[in-house]
Amino acid sequence: MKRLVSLLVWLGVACLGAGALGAIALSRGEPVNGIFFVVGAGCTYLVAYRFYSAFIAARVLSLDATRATPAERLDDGRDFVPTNRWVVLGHHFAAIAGPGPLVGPTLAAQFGYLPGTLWLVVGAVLGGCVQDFVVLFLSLRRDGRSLGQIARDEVGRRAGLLAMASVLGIMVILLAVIALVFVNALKASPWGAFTIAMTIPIAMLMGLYMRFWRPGRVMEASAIGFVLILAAVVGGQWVSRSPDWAPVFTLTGTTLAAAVIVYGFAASALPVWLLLAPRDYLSAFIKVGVMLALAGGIVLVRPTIQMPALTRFVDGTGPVFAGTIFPFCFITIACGAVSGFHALISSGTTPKLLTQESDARLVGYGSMLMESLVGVMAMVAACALEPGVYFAINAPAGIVGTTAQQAAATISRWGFPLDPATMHDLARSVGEQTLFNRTGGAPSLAVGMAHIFSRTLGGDRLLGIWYHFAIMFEALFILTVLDAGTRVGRFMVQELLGPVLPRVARAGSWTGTLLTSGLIVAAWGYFLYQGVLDPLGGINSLWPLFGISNQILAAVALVVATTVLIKMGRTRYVWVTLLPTAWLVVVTLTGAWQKVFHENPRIGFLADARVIEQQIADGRVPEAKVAEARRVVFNARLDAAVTAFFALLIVLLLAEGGLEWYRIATGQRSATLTESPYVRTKWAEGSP
Amino acid sequence: MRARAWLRVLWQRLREWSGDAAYETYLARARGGAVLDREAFYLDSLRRRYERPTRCC
Repeated sequence: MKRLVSLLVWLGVACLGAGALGAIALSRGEPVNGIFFVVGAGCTYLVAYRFYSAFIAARVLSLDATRATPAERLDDGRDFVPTNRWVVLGHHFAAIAGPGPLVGPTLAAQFGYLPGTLWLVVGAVLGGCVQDFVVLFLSLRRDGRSLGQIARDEVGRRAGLLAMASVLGIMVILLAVIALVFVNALKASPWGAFTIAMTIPIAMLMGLYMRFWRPGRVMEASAIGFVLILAAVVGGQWVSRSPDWAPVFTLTGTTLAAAVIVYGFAASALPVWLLLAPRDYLSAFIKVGVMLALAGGIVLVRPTIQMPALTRFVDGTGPVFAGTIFPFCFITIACGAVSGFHALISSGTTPKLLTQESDARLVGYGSMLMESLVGVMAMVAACALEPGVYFAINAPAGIVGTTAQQAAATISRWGFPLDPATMHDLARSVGEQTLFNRTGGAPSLAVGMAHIFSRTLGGDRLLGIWYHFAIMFEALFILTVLDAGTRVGRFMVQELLGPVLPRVARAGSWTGTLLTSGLIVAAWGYFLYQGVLDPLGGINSLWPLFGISNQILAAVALVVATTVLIKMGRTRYVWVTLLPTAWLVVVTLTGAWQKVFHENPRIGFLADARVIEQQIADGRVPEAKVAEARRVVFNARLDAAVTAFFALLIVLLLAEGGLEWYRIATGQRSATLTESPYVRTKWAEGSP
Repeated sequence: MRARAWLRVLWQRLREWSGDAAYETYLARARGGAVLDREAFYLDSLRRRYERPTRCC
């Protein structure tokens, strides 16, 4: 009887999900409500978690609840601590969910709401969650070793090196692109710039509080920080209206880029307790709180989706970024569907906290489902805007024109009617000077979120406060990723330089700290600077590069996972990891090929370089702009080289992995795993 | 009464999640040898935490 009830309940959930997804997929012209997205995605996640993750746990990985985890065996109260699984779920979710699942879907909304939403749901269920879960399992069975170490131990030394190179590469591009999103969100926005500037002294005050006055009291310091941040958001309105202060905080893109580069260097070199850690604590609280509030807001407000299911830009002529729906929709949305960076978290702190091996299913598979839902909510927030407004905010001036009239005329010609007065009123109501050409996804997402929040609480009166609260929320965790990423990048560079420059690698060496911080900041700072100067807004070239590198890292993790499955004797189940690997390889290599060689200069880096070079040769570039044009040519070629490097990485790793699979299959190599020996958990039934 | 117990558990989990209870967890598990004081433990845990990727995109 119980079984029958369970079957009926799950059948009901499946039908509800299918109905909701069917409604958004088949709707053509008639208005769709945002709640369908949440219900459709939510039901799919529940079914996938109940059945597919259970299948992976039981059949593919054979999770063993009687096996002691590293947290139990090596329990030291510091790194290895058996922790309640819901607490670990919260830790892991807060670690993996950054700006990516918010910005990627917002940018991909240019294709319409349907492709991005379906990719978020299907990609997560069959790819992203599988990757996170399997890598967590691999690390759990190997005392919490990192992905690079697992690749070296299970596939080979070269694979370990390739994994490490791809991690460093993605780190540089990731930091550059999120810094660009940050710069574009705060450009010419005194309110936003003031609020974010205030987070620095607030974080430092929290740092001092937790270091000297009340060591380690995270909750107290975070509560103080939150109140002060709210005061900064409200105070920003006064600053933006002050004739004396507004000009001080009205910053250009290049000034902001320089400021964020200096900030990144300082945050990497300063003691971690002063700036990085307090900001991270505050950001984690605000991140989880805002995501819950957004979910509640969507349920309460039930916004109507304004964007069509598919737009004309599926043909590759999109103004936000150029490229056809395949492969660019799947590259633009990495986080929220499949993100390789998660493999670093799954093989980092998380495996050292799990109390039972069976918890890996909830934490690995479950938290990625939650991130995917965040991506779906971002899609709802972006698509609830009028399409004309969405394109006005996200299209660069190089595409739509530099004046409000030109931009409105261009966007209206695309079939999305837009009145310049609408944009003017909207900008005024959110306390901005203009909302035209605010590329990067963050401002349009903030407008979407502000509409949802203000309809829940405060009405239009609070639209400006909510907008800047959303901007602060996005910028806060962008800066957190920037701080933490630059610091980790610094350690990686120190490790790489260690054999040739031992002085640089020595812990506590100030020369080493300053040199390696400078190197990593210079690397991402260069790409940031080129993005800021790019006449097409920078996002057009940098975001696809980030998506390609992130998904190549996911393919690297899945190749390693496939190798381990073969060694475990689970060859019949390798399709679980091979299918997403194959998809990612096809998508990323196609994307990389097009970004390098496509004839359209908005897509292909080399074509772009050729066109500008020809313009210089023909004398069509004014003398004063020639140097700048030559720099754009150099940058396009550099981007092409970086893209080719990422593509080469995955080809080499596939060859390395394939060779290992062949050797194991033909008996040339023994299928020896490097798992830690089995120890029975003290929590298992019947244990002493 | 049950609600109070439930809230207490929720509060404890929140403290564990945020890192607020990390020192108490450490003390409960410290086995012999020198035990770090709260400040030293806090600084040590931050140093180890930010040597590896802790935040994703």
